[in-house]
Amino acid sequence: MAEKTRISWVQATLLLINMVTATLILVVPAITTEAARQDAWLSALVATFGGLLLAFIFTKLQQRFPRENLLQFSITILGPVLGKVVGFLYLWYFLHLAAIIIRSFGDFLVISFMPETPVWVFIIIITILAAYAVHNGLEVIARVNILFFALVILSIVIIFFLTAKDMDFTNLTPILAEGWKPVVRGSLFPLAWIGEIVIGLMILSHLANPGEIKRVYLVTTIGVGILLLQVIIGVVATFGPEYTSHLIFPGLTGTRIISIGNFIERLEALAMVMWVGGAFTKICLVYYAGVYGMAEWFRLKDPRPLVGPAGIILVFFALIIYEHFIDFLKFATVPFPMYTLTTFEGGLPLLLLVIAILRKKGGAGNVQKNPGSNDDSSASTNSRLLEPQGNK
Amino acid sequence: MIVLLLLTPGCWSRKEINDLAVILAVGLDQEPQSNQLRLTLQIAKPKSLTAGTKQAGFGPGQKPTWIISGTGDTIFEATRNLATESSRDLYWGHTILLVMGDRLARDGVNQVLDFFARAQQPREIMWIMVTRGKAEDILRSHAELESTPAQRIGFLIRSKTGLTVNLKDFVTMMTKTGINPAAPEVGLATVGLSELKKLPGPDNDEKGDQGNRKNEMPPQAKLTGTALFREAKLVGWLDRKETRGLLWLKGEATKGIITIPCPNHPKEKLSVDIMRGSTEITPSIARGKPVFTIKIKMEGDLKEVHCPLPLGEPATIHHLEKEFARDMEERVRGTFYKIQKQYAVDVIGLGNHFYRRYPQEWKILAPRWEKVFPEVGVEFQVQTSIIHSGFLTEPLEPWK
Amino acid sequence: MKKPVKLKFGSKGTKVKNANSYAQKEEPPGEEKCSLGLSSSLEENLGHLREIFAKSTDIIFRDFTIGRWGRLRAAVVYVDGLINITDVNENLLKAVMLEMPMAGNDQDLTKLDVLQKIKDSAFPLSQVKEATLIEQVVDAILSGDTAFLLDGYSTALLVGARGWETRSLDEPATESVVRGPREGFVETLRINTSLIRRKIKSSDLKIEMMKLGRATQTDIGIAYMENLATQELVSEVKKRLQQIDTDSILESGYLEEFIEDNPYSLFSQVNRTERPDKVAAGLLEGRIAILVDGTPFALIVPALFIEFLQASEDYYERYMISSFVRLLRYAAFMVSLLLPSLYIAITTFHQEMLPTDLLLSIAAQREGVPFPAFVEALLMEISFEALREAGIRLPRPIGQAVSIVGALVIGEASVSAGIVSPAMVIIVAVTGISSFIVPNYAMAISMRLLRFALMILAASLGLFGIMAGLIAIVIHLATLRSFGMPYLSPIVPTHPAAWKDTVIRTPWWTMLTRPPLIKKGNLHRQRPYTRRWPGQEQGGEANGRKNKN
Repeated sequence: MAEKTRISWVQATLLLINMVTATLILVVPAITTEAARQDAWLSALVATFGGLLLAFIFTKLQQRFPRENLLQFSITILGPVLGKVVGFLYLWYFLHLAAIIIRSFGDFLVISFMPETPVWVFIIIITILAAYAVHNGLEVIARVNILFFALVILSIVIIFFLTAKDMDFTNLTPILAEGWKPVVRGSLFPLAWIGEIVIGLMILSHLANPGEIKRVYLVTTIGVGILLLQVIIGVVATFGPEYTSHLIFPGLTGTRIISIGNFIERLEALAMVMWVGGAFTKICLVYYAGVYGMAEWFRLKDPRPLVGPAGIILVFFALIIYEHFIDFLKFATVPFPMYTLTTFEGGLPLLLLVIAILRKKGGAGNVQKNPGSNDDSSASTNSRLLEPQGNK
Repeated sequence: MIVLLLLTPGCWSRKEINDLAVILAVGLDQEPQSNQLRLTLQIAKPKSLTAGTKQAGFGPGQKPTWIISGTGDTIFEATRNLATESSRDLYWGHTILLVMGDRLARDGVNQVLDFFARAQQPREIMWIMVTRGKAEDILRSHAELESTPAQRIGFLIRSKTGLTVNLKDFVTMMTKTGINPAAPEVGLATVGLSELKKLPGPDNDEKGDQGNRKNEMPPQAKLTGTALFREAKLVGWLDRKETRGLLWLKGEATKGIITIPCPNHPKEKLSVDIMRGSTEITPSIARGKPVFTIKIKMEGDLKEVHCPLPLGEPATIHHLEKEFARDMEERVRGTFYKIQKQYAVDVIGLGNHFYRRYPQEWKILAPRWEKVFPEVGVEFQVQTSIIHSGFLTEPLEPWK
Repeated sequence: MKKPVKLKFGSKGTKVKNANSYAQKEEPPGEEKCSLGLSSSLEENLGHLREIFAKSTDIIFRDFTIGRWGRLRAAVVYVDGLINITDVNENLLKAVMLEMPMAGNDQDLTKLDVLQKIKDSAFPLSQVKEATLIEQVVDAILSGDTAFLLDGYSTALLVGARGWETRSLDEPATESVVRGPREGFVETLRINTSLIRRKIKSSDLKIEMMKLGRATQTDIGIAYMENLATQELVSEVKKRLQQIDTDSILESGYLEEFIEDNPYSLFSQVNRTERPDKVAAGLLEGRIAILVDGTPFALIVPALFIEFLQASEDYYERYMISSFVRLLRYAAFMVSLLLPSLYIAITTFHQEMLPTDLLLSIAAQREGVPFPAFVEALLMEISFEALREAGIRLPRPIGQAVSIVGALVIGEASVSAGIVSPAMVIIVAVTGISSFIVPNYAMAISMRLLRFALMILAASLGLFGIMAGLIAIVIHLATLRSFGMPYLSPIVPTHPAAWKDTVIRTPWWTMLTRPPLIKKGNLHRQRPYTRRWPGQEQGGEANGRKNKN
């Protein structure tokens, strides 16, 4: 691509973690708990392991084509026609995902903070902000994300500690009362969210040091797993599995019960910060993937003119994608994870990888680290931080 | 211009703070004839709460709250009816209390709680309580130290002398398997002495004095015990003493005072202040039936001794500890008997403990737990220890 | 390591040798004669000059003769008030009129190259230049030099006997310190450069000069450390300065707007200071200082966001205190940016976040206040800003009176009149105090504007509005660059090694390296084993190793 963007592995990892986490922790505990009851935390572990499998596929794929993004290497692997078809499918996926997340972003704010405000207000505002960020490129998104990530993590930790006195960890037992089946069923939904790290395939070609692809995916998956585990444990311990499964946003309700010494009460603002900060990153990334993917697909040199039109499409799509939040929840529990997991997050990448191996496309599969990149990682990161003056 | 443009669409959710009728407490009753819900709201009157005129605010006719009441088939309908009476928007975000009359509670509370758990404004941490009689009366009670009755009751509950149950706790207890909900009971009483007490004279015997007090002091709310629920329906009550036992059984009482007779002078008493304690419930299966061991550990400090005791001796302390344990066990047993045999409601959550330990067996037991619970065998083990005895070793004795 | 430098330029500008010739090209043809060479006739030269300086009463022409018999006619031309009159009288006029004739004989005067002789041996002055163009002479005269013209020579001597009334070195008014040097820059460039030179006694300190402004001919000094500042940065700064074509540069603020990366941003991307020590510190970190004649404010580039929240005193006071003060400043920054909007958002959208007692007390205070909280806040904030502005412009005693009237009378009266609630007065007062904690005036101003924007957003969308506003601000800041440096570095792009001097300040002996700004020369400020003397824990050593790479 024309843009010579470079991001460090820390930036990439934080982008991916924040993208997955913020939306994961608000909705997912309820859906997972509904299936797995008190074993929801086991579901989180299972989902993390599933995520590691996916991450393995993505890593292998990206390592073969360290400087190409998803759309580029699918053409390399499958040839121009099939490659374009796959690319189109992914564009559809990005669009769909972006629309879902933008809409649920608006719905969350409407349901929990401003019931009288129409949802389009939030949708339009957040899309404009995301368009501004996408217009400024991946580096800016990555930088902004670091700040928001700090906010999100801070909120999660504060919420966890402030609700700690309401937690009853016996709520997490008995372990495996119903066997593994509900656990696995409950893990599908978080796995589908974790699988969104497939978007990494659109940004990791910008990694400053391609040797760090594996590290990015590994740290991302484990990081997401830990956060998910922590939130599920917190929520289920606080509310018990039954009440949790009745809640739409257990994470939010968790902040609503905070009451310390009669003056720190109802820190819903923290949930809002967490949600807006995380969802914004996610919207930006998916939007970015969509716009830059589109530019790639149309063979445009400069993707920027696409930002505006794509934004309009997104707003429109987000408004019509479903009518009621319950529709979304229903769609999100089973069909959506299956749909995305089998195709975009699992099936297609695996297929691409297998074909690439068979047709011997791309690097040997092991782009090994640059000499000294491992112990010198901090140095290489440092040099990244100062984009303008590279080492001479 | 831009300011105006931005502000015009922004009025959807905006409410100025002085356009709100801040609901502090909600009372729910069932109308005797129509079976409709009667919703009583205690609304703060900020005007009479102004800092400078706070003292004046307590004069007659200057009550800090305003109470309105309306009926409807659902709470929301009642709210809408009330909204026509209130000049300001009803605002639920600061509701501290939800008081339910016993008539409504006996009919089942899960339908009415739905509104509070579903809506965005009411908070999950509002206290749930039940009163014998009408909830309306509790809302009308008087508050002496706090600015509003609702805040007063809130602080009463926070002091943890009775059961502390908020909406989230209640809902959790209601939905969780193998446990029945309980909520504190609140009643009215004349608390405190009137400042206008007459000078003591030959005419003023005790009774007359009390009569005077009743007239002078408006009744205030008071925690009087516990209401027991089965499937969200009120089935029985525990008094204050039994509530204490229930708290120990649930492992929630971390504070409290126990007064036991002196070992050597049964007429004299001594008091132990419980500092911390824990309760452990271990289920097991004996001859195909669930059996429970309830182990209660308490630590306390000696606060007041009325009889001469050689408290410097460890043996005395050990002896006292045993007395203390025996007394506690008695009370716990009494409470448990009432819960198990009289009402057969598992508010302690024995079923839940059993489920955690034996999830498979519970599946069979769960549908008929109501029948099984009164029959389960329970063994109590109470361990107590007295840690400190204050600044004195032996009690003060006059010179002989 | 990879690509070359990615500095953002206004345009790949045409190489212009210096601003003078650039300006000259653009000059109207009517003044073209200025660039004429001097003729050998004094009469003619003086005629030209008189013509150029017609109606300028402050230009003094003094013609006289040299030599015992008055054979040689000469003249001095200078601007009254710009020269040191004693110098000119004693060392110039006296030297050529009295002493020189006594020293030599008259024959010499006619035979020899008198001008050379005079230059070599007559003037006991250190700054003597030759000029052959009238334009040079004119410029020199206007800059305060004294022109010495001799009949028969087409070369003029420009004698540097400048001396004009200057302000004495004073404590900088905008950046006063409790501990630290109390001298500030003044309006004279030379004095300012000398102040820097006195701090950095290194031959690596370069101060290049240029003139900007067609009418003002303002002297601009570009100071940098040759061994620390990257060549790219230096040439970039020069290039941007040379691009400027304007008739006047009266203050460094003019330059600031001309050379900023993003001129539409609310945030200043160029740091300004009155303090020589701050400039010196900047230079030693590889930055470039731009000094402008006529103003005590020097510019330092590149400037990062965090620097606007730092004061030079941070480095002089004990590090723990400085760190605390910095944390306080960051907190104050957030408060001053967000407090009014948070108040609006919480009281009009999210009342549930207030403790019940506070809610009731605010509600009680607001009883009878006719305006919505937003209008109330806007009224108070605007009147506060007005008060502040009034206080600055007025003479000090009156300014204080205005503040007292404003703060006490208006605040108190408006509360008791029920126009605003006491809570709002508290909010505005706390915001005001916080905004004064931010040490940099430019940052404080941009914060004020943003505060208003956030208030509007808060009033229309509550906390979400504030979040949206913050997101937009953060994206903007992350996009900004100051002479190629990402504005938010070292926070993002993250550079933990530089965090020793951001929100907190670690002790000097731990700051072994200079900030990552410099990619040139010796990165190390000090040897890693500072503070390692017998009996002392090797505090700095472990860190030193780590940083050394």
